[in-house]
Amino acid sequence: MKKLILLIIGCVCVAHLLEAQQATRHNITGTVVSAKDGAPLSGASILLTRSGANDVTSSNGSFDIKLTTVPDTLIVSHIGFKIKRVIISTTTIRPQIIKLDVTSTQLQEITISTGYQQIPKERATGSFDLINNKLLNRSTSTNILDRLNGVTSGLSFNTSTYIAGTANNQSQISIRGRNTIYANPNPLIVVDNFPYDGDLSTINPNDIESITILKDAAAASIWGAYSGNGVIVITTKKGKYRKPLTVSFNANITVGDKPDIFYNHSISSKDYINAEEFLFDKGYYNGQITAWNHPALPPAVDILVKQKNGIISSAKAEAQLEALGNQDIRNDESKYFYRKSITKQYALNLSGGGDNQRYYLGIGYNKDVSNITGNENNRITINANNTYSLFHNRIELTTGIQCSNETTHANGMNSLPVAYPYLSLADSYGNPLSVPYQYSTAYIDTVGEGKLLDWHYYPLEEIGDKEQDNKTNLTDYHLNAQLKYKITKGLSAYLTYQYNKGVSSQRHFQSQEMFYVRNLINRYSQINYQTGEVTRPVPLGGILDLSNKEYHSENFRGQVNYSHRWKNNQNITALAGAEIRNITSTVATYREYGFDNNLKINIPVDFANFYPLITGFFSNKIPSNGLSKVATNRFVSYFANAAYTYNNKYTLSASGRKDASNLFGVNANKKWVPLWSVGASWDISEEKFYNMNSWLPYLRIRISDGYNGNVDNTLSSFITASGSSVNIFNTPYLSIVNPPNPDLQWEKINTINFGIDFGSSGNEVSGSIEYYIKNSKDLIGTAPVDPTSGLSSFTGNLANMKGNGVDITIHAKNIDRSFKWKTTFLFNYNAYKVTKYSYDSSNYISNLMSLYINPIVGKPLYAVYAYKWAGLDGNTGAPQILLDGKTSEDYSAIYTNTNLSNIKYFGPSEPTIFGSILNEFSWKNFSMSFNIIYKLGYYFRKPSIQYNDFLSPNKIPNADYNKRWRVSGDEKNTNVPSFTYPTNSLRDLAYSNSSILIEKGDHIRLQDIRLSYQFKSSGLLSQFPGTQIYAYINNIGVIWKGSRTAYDPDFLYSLPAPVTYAIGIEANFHP
Amino acid sequence: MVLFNSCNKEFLNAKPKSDLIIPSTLSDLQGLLDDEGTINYAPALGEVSSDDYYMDYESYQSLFYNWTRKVYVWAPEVFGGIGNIQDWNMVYKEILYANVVLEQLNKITRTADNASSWDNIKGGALFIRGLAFFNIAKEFAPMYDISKANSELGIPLRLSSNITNQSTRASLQETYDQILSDINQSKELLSSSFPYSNRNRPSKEAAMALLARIYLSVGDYGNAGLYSDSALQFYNILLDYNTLDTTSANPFTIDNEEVIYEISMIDSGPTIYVTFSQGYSIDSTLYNSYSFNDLRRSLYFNMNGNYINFKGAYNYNGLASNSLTTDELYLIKSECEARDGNIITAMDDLNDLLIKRWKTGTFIPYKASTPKEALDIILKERRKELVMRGIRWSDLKRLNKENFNIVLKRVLGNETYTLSPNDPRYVLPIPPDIIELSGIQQNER
Repeated sequence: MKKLILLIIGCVCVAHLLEAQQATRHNITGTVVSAKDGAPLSGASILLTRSGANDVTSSNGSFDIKLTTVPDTLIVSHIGFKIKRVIISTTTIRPQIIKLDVTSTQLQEITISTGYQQIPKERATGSFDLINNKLLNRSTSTNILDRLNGVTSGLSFNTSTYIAGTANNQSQISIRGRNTIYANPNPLIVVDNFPYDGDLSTINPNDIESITILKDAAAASIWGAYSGNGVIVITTKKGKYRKPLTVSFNANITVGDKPDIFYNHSISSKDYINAEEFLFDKGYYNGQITAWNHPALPPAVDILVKQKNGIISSAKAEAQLEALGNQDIRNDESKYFYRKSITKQYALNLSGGGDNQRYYLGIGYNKDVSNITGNENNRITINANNTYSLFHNRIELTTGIQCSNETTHANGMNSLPVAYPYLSLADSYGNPLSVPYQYSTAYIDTVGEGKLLDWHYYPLEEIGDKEQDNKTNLTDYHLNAQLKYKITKGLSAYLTYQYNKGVSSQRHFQSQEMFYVRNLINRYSQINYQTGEVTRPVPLGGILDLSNKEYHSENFRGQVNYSHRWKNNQNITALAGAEIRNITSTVATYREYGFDNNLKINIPVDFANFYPLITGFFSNKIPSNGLSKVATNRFVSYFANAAYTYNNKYTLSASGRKDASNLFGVNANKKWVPLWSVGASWDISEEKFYNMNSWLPYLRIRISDGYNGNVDNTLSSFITASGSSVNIFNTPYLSIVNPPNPDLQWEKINTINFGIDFGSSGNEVSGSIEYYIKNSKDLIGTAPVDPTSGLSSFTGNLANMKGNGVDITIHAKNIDRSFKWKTTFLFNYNAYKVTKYSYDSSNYISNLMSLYINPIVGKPLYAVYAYKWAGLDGNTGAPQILLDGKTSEDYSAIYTNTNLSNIKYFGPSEPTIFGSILNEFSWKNFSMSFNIIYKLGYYFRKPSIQYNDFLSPNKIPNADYNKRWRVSGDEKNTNVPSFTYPTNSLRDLAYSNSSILIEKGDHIRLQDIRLSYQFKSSGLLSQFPGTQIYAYINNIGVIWKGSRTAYDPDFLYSLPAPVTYAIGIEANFHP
Repeated sequence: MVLFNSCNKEFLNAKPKSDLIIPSTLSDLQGLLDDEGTINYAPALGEVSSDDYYMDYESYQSLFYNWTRKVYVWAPEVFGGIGNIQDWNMVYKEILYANVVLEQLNKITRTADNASSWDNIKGGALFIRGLAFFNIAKEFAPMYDISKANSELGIPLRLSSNITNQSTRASLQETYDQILSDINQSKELLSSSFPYSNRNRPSKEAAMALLARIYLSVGDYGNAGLYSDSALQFYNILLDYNTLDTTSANPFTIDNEEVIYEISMIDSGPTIYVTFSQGYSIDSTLYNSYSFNDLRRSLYFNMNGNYINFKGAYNYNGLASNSLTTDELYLIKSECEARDGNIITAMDDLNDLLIKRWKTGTFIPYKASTPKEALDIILKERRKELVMRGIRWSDLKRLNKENFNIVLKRVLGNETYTLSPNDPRYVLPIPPDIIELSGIQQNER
């Protein structure tokens, strides 16, 4: 089908080409350039005053206009430049080069990209935000998204609610808050023309020219059903016509501190041993000590057992416990698991262009040595594009290739699988020590009578690349081609095609020295004690895990752009088109046993039969780790948009889009969703009655309304099942995935946006203020259903949400003399709440305390609720909660009988107000800038002791243990409950979910400081314009916070991002 | 554009994920029935409440869930508001699978070519549903008594996969009518070739064995005897325990030939801990009742300090077994014969089984002179053979109805807990989330 379309469009183009050749005889052609630097100006209006013929310059500044009467006057205008008149007195004229002078009160032309078209910001009715190259380059991060932090209006980094790999469905970043519940929460990321299907880490930030954020319906609805969470359009660098070759070079090195592992408020070794002694006396460990499966015992308990059995004396036991109490695992973890990070980044760009051609080539290399010992990453990127302009600019052909190759070694460890705080990893000579893991030391020292492999676990032997290598190679290609054909004046056709392919192949080799391998071999070993023969169903040698993930996508778009300017200053731009996308991804994993890494040979094993395990207990199959899956996503879309401007004052815009995808098992009519938007803007400062020109020469208001969509392609109208494995009898089976849901439809988000853009005289203060209202409908929600139905939850279009917000951006030139001081102030407010939820989950209060999403009508999704704290019981130190006005210690009643009326709602757990203040100073060749980020209006739950954590060997209890209630009277000085046994998880929950632990999240952070020195481009350096050296310090720290705890509200469950220090050089060269 | 549009339909019909399907063929439906990890599970809280094992006070205190402690001591209120109880949820999930299979099957025309597998799948789904209803009723409804069955509450009978249907409790009579109707139908539909290498699949033999178990549990000894006999006509393999390795940590393997239909008990904590942990033990009187020449003494049990751990699960996965087995059938048949007064047949059946349990040449066949004496021997042997097999709880209910007067007792620290015969606490409370979401009536305890 695609071929046919290409053919048809191709024929149309050729026909037009022949016709066009004849029509060029009586035309004036030429190029409009800036008088300042000779750069071609696109979008300049060309008008012949007598005939009324007009044109708009193309991207290389060229125009072509029909001459009917002589003489005539050519008027050339462009925002930010002085109007120029050229008198045309003869029909035989050469191509004109028209130079425009910059106006003194320059309103800089800002072009934004929607991925479908470039439009001047002044003519846009929607809400766009542009991050230019300079701002992107303040940061030295190798990841493009990180560079947006603190410089983008309306974009929040969800550090307080985003927890990687959990079910709380939070995205790392969001634009203007949250619009969905359980469907995809991530903004759409577009690179140049198409959604980016690869891994964002494969993009070299040095190849990026600018980033446009599409925030409201009018801006984003051109992306239809994928735009519900906003759109981020990344525009890569391109060459420019008529620009000599420029070579740019950027190199920097970033050094990061070791993470502060002592930040986690974990219990001291002494306290932990104290608790273990208490539990030991209560007999808690009895079952484990003698258990038939020989679980690993905490070292302190081991000592207590020996003392109890008379193997060691009380004095010796005491001394040993004392010694353990003085050890802190964090010292060893910090020493062996972490190091300073070093990131080196090099980028070389070449760009330039002639009359009919322009090109760009970017090469980048990064080497990132992570702060986790054993982890590192190398990346090479090549980005090249080239544009030819043919047949007097009638045809423009752009081709591009982006490739990247990234190699990651993940041989580090950031935490131990056992969490006793007094472990040590090495002896005083630095030799690796074993730690108890999975099996008790007594057991593994004797089992198998010496015929098994060493069964101890030495954490230090597990890191680094000595005995293992976990290497992932990621290769990504993007090939694209665009053919632009100018059918007639103002009407152009575009055909755009992109092919992407990414291959991520992981090769994880673990030698027989690794615990995982030794453990597997030993568990399956069978020993004949009479003959001493050992049978090993899992053979000796290493284990090799291979995983191959691959995707390829094809995107094809046909589009027609039309623009026309009438004599009476009316202007229309319109586009319409269609596109199809196909993304196929495959994943396959495979494992080999007995692998010899030198000879690359393996030993086949039997995956089908059950083998008894030497640890007793039960039989098992040998894990095969084999898997193979294919996923296909297909999309078809039609789109159109138009904007009409009258008299440079009034603009009306409209946009519509219809999307369909291969959603599984959805009736065809529901596969399609139409979405639309309309907008209007009014440049008040152009009106005659406008009388504030002296101090506010630019004032424009905008309004827009429309719909965006979002889709959850994991759901289906029909009952679905999946199968990928065999049951214990080696027969393939299927499991039910989804119950049928015949009413399923796409989510819709309505946004109404009001905006004011302004600029003061001399542009001393400029900016915009926007207010928006969002209504999200038919959101996918999950409701608990009676498990008697066979399922415990149902997912469907259950919810509505409503939100509103304000985005303010202000640029101020505070001092603009030889010493310059500029401030950019970003202020964002966003609040939203659930307005409808078909299931009332307010009776399930226990869920409300979790980190997860809680859709309660009238409240935001991520919110902090708490039991009303009523102090500690003076006699027992038990936590007390106010339940229906009465103090209660009935924890199961507290757990079950609380409802929204008797718990306290504090507020959202995500900032409702956030933004930044970026100050930039420059004097002569020096510049300095620093960015302050603030987040306000939210709450967090402070972690504290949960006594049940003592029962889990992989959880470290909180240091608050130390502050616990011990004797009557303590309740006056502490709120930490007493330690009781048996532990009661509901008692733990009553305390940890109580109001006493709720803190304000508000804080202000000094994010970064940048210093630079720009060399004068004179003398020796005259060929090196714009050369600068710079230093950049990031993640500096919190300078104010609303809570008195030691927690950084952005890092409640992880270690704070360490401070990083970078130095670098940027140089340009004109050969 | 028109061209573009016409191709769309085909383009958009691509399957989004290779492993995702709408179950619509017979082999898809068989695939659902083969989801052993979902289908072949039975509730365990009855076993947790039973008296084949005990735990000491320290172990009792160290249990993770408070509600497990409360189940162990037959507390009137158990779950303390905590929901998501697998004994209920998992078993009703099996019922959903069965209903989905039955509904999808109705969309496939039964033809001469597919008739045998069509019937076998329908029979399999009905068997699974009937068994699941029975397992729920065993724990959450009173024992069937024909005189009160119309007035007592049974369980919710979900007969459709529509998850929006409201759950209501049927009467006990309706409950058992449905159970028997499902299984009787399945008996007629299931294939007569035994699935030797897929013991997770229902078979005609399994349907008859299940009918024998159900009839016995409600005290209908005539039918129980009849069905145990018919099942054994088809399949009567017994293992000779002399061929097993008494030193092995897990003497019974996945290909255990006594298993007619494989069922594991849901992981409940104590039923697993008793297999390996000190602090958990098989009742010592029960243990001491095994003769030293009785191979079960060393095949079923493992001394762990002073505690007798259980290693005799008729299973492969470390979970307790509730499988339908031939040894159970021999015992049902023997008991029913004895109750019918056929002492000799009864003793023959029992001896046929036990001779395979004792060391070769050591077993002296049992004799009895009265039906009462025979029954006493059989019941004692029944408990010894089927220890920790999820049978004891319904035996306790049944025997106490016949005035055997078995009082259960737990001593923990300074507390003693007892459960007297026919106590309403023999019926477990329905989990609180079920009550909340469906509004069905809670059991009185």
